[in-house]
Amino acid sequence: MDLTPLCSFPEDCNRLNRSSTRSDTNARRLKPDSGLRTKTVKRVLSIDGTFDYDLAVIGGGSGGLACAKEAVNHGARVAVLDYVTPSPQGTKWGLGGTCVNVGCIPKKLMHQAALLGESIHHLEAVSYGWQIPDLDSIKINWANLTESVQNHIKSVNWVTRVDLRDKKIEYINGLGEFKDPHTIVATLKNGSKKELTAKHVVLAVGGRPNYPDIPGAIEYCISSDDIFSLGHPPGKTLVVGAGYIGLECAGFLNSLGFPATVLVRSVPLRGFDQQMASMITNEMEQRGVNFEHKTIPLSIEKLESGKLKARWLNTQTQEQKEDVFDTVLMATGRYALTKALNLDVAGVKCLSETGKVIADTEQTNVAHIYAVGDVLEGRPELTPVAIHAGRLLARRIFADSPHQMDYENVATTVFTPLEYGCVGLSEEAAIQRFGTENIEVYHQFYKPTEFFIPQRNIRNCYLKAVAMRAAPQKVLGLHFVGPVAGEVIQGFAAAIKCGLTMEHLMNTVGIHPTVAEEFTRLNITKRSGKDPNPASCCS
Amino acid sequence: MAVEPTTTANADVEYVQIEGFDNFSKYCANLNSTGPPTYFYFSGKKDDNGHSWCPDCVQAEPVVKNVLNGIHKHVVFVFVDVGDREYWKNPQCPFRTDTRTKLMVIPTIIKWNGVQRLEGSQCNKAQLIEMMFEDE
Repeated sequence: MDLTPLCSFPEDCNRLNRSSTRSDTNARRLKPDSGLRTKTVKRVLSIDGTFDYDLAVIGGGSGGLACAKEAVNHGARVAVLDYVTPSPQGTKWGLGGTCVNVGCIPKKLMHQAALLGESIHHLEAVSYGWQIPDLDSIKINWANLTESVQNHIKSVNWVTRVDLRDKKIEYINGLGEFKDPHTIVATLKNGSKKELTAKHVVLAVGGRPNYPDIPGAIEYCISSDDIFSLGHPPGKTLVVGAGYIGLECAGFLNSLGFPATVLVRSVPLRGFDQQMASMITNEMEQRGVNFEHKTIPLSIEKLESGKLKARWLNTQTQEQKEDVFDTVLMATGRYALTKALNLDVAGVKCLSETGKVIADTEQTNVAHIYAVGDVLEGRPELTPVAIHAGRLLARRIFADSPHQMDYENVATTVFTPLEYGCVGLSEEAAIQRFGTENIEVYHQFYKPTEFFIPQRNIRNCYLKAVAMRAAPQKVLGLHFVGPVAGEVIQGFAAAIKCGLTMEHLMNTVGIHPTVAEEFTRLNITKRSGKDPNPASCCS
Repeated sequence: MAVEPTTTANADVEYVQIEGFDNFSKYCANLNSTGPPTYFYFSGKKDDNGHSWCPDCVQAEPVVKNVLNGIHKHVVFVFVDVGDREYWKNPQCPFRTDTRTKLMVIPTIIKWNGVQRLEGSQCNKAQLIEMMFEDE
């Protein structure tokens, strides 16, 4: 039976020399007529319009996996494509995306390693009575640290793969791109190609680190893609960039015993509350991290010794400076991986200048193509945001749910040695939106109980609440610098969702002794000019 | 030490039977990283009729054996009999506490020196057991 009049892609049937690997039981395709000798497997829209999959997710990270798993809960047949193009230094990793492999998880583990070192070296344990015979001999073994971290990551990769297989989600380890709005071609590691059609497609490809366009950057420098599995101790490190990735890396490297210098182009943690950002960097400086403000890198040169000579320019003084490092880590922003998708062919046109997808409700200009996670323009680049949005999206597509993602008041934490947790508006953003006269900021320095004995620096232990001035003083933002900031802020994110006011907060009884209780003790406003320094405990 | 390679339908898989923790320890001490991939299947002791006291193990074993019959590369598959119910239920049972195994449930299948691991009801799903033998 000659089906060519009904086939949408008759011209494709003549291309016989593509090799491809077969997907198995999930395929629904027309059998080619006897005139075609097919070694290739071609996906075609069958005549009644059904597809190989109800949903194809491109990107197996936080957003993509959450969306895929939620979709199967509602009966969808799902395929997930995931592929890691090796970093310039050759680093690659398994299924799970940035968070699991080269982001949140290894970062938090290294942060923890750093904190453990601090509890020994900043005279903490000793001051509490622990007898440590030879303090100086207690050093980090970088190989042991990275091995433990990588073992954990690999076990997460495994559990993720088992979960997908168990849920009968097809996992394709290939780089996906569009061939037409409903057809995706995945290029596997061995170069072979696999084609599939899907009724709905979710773009969850995330991003990768930017490298500045300067001599030596790509050849000699590493990024966050490489640091967590670096095959040798990083030594004296230059971190280019003072966003949260740069600061977190410089922070744990310094605490682990690897001297760190940070080049700051404009301001640290741009976009975050700047008063809090300066607390963070003050603390890091007091712990020995060197900051070069208002600088841009010019070149990285490899010396005969194997070390790297970095040259930079102070954009204010026009002065050039250089220094020699063992490692240079680029943390100069990330870019979305949309180019490789061949979105033009799919008809997707809603890209921003930086290549991110503009999709307010995660739906692109092509009705059946969506986007979730870091690839989205103007949304927080956070794992829980991607997961939540991915799940809600799957429910809207497959379960008629009306619920949209709420991107407001998403709490986050910067895991620098002294952590910064926040939820809601920065002071600057609140002032810009409502005007200074309509805002009240309550603030306080505080002393964690545990810091007294070892006499730890408390100068940067600070918190503030940004609220509407008029009663009941609805809380717009909460900001906290101190230990375990993430743990402190999480509960307050729920409170803000419930419409937290200063009246509520002030009527909440604190848990003592904690650092979180300081939020319930806030009573001094910036406007009053009163001294926000800590009085005595318990009063 | 009860190490009796048994011949089966599939000549590529080398089967080993081990009883108890001491024998398991001795066997591991002799493992070297250059040998074939080695897998351990921990299950409850069998009675004289070949029936384990652990119902999940009874359910999983034929599924595991069936998958193994389809494995066409040289691997070593070690059936480890962890002991009787009382021994296993004790929180201090060495199979639970030893860092090489850290068993929380039986049956458990682990790949030696690897992260691959299946526990409990995962062990009676053929498609998951197959994953244990896939290349990284």
